[in-house]
Amino acid sequence: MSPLAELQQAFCDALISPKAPSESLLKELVDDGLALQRFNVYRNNFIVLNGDALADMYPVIKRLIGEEAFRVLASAYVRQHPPQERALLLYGDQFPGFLESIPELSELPYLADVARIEYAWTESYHTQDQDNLSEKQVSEIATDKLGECQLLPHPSLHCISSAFPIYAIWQTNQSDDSTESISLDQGESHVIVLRPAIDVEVREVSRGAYHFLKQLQSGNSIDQAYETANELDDTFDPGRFLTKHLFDGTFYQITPSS
Amino acid sequence: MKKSTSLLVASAITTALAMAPMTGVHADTEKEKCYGVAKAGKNDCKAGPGTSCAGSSTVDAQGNAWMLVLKGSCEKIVGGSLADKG
Repeated sequence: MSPLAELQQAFCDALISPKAPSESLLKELVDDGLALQRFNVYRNNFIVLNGDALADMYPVIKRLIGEEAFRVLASAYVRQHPPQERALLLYGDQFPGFLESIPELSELPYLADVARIEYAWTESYHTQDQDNLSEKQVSEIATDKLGECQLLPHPSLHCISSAFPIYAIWQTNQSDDSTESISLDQGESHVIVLRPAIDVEVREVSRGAYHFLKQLQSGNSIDQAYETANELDDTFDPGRFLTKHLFDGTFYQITPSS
Repeated sequence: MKKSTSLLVASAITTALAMAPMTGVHADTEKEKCYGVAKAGKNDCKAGPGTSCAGSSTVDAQGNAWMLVLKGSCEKIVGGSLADKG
């Protein structure tokens, strides 16, 4: 390793360590007796501002556990997972898994899945715009070939399912003045996040609709997607679902089987 | 693939097509996308997380010791906890 690379590595290591930086590192910085103070200011800004970025990404998690606990977790996250890219727009992709790894949060088992909705929201927000499926595209396909087609959901679509009522938790915590309580006994929740036009939409869907969309997203034909959805939820009604969602921006393309 | 599936799917799609003029939602062209992050409930446009150039007045608590004091709205979420199953 070149001396410069070694210095950079030592600087990065010291940045994410809570300990005082080594004497040898400080000597490399401008030595006017203030190197340690300067380093501490820089490190504090690094930890705190990246933590602020995380708070912008996860406002509901912050609300759920409170500012103080969020700050402690954010500092630990920044140290364990410092940003890997110059832009922080999507910083925090590993935060849901990080939350699951914290024993003190095991009493809040829904937290990570709620965080997954929040990350999907921002990722969906930054996905490239895409025109919605048009009636013309569908009407050009022969009726007896429709079932073999791929029906592609909007590229901004994210599917999140949980054993806990994460949609209700996310929804209730959108505003600071809500005091509604939620019972975890409501059970499982299937959520889709997508941005058909300007606004990101977060919708709770039935188990059948969830699996139908997941199958379509992975490129399976409409017939296959329906059969899987029907096996997992025999109340799934494709007629009702598609009448409501075929042209509302949930989908963007229909292509004959290759 | 079962023939009944194909028929069902085709019928679902043709129904959706027939209903389209009534259900079709057209994008609101009055609005413009703000290229930044504005989470729901925060309607302001801003440059996005971490773009503040201001120095921070917050001092990192260097929280290595897990002193997690949960004070948020999670206390409003009740029942079905893993603790009960233990």
